[in-house]
Amino acid sequence: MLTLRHLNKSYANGRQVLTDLSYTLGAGEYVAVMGDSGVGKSTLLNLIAGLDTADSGDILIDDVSMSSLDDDAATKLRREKFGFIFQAFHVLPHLTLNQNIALPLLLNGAALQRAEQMLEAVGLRGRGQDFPRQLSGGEMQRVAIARALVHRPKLVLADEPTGNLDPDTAHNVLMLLRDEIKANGASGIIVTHSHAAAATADRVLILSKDGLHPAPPAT
Amino acid sequence: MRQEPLLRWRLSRWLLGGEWRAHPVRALVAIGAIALGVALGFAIHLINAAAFNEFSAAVKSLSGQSDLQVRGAQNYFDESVYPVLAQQAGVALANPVLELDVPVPGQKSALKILGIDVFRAAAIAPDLIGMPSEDKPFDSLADDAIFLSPAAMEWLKLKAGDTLALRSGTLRVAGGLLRARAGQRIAVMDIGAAQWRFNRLGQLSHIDLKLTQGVSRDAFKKMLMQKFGEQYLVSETEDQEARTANMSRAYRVNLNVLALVALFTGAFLVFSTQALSVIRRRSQFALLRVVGLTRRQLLIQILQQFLNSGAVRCDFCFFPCQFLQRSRYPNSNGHLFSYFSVRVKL
Repeated sequence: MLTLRHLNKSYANGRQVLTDLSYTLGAGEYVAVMGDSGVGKSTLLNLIAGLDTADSGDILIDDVSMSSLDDDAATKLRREKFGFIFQAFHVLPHLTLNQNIALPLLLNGAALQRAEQMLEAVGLRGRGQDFPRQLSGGEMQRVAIARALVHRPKLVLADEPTGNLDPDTAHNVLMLLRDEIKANGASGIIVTHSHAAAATADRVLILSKDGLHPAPPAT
Repeated sequence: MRQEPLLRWRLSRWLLGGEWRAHPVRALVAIGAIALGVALGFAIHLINAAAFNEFSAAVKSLSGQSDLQVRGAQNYFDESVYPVLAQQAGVALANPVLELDVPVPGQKSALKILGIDVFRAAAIAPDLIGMPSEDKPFDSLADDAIFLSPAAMEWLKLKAGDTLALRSGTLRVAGGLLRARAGQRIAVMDIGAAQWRFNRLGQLSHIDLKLTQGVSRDAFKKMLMQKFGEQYLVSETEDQEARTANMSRAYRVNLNVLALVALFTGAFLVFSTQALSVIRRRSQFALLRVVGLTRRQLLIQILQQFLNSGAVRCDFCFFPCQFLQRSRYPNSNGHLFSYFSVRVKL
């Protein structure tokens, strides 16, 4: 599904964040990426999503090299194959929940009815006409999960999805995220500092200066 | 690709509708501010056009449908030239006119009195024909009768049957004019009576000529100029319109500059409102890019929203302007000038 080949990335100030990073994510695999602050976890997600470009190396999505795509093609790929979940939810405040969830369907030219199904799947049945301001943080993240999965993406990228939630809500959201990713047959990468969050993934990877390595087994 | 317009329209509806629903007051203030700018420019444009039309129409109402006009080098010239012109080959009709600015006791400005030959004027300048009362059908030819335009009647506070007192004597107000421009203060009487009453016996101000069909205006004008030399000025109706345009040019340039200022102000308001709106919604646009809107689609989206709101803003100012103009002044034919009570004196 996803292959990273010898990725290198440094910031404009010259600080190197990713060095010779390689990894392969299989179809249907759900992994958590942990690591110290500033090690480049979010940067890695941005590179995978085509929102940023690597200094060298290559990213393959279903054997298509991201570096071979221009901006429009990368955007189209992102639209069709990726789902995104952010720490700050990024739900559009003036759209109803139905409209927020249906955005990827609208952009992909798909039927909008599935938005209702997803709303129901994340436990917000009958609230399609509500606005984000009427929701709690946990509910907003549920909407974000529904939006990320509504168009049946092949890869879901979640950046600290529970960073703004209390532990109980966070657990519920994480379980929902995992279940929905599995139910939709997608792959997923969750970037987190939370061990509890990482524990919901199939595998946990540690990102460090040396690259991406499996986490040592818990003792 | 065929779905793209639908997508754009739907997404635009969602985003713009949401924005307006969330901040109705802000949207209304923005609409109002921009409408004000556009309305200023539009209003000045209307006034400008109406002013020119009014000037032009006022000139036309005096010279009627004549092709050429002959004037003396001085204000008045000897009427002996009239039969010469009237009998000139190529002239279908010659209309002699005596034009006088007569002081009115108690008024600061003079009253323009036109002395006309009612039989000639009826064919060339029918607007200037007086309307006598039914019991006095020959007042048009009476030496003591004068016909006033509605504006002149209002100005002098007179009505049909009253007496108009002038320094040279008194005249009986025999009625109004068949048609007169709004705000045009003129009076009409028989040309012979006017010459006698105002001590201008044997004198004329101008002669309007209607040429026979097929006669070239330019050639005839050239011929007349050669024949009369510098004693007389021969001009075409179009020349008079051009002169009118020149007379009102400074005024219209002023209005145009004002309109430009209003338009620039409006444009600045439009730009700053839209720029602020884009900056405020930057995170939303970023999200749209992340979930799959291309740069081009996003740009179109912003422009489309700008145009949609612009259209509403324009409707907001143009329709009330048009409605006001048409409902309050159905017969004004766009002449807002009369609404602003600007008197056109010619």
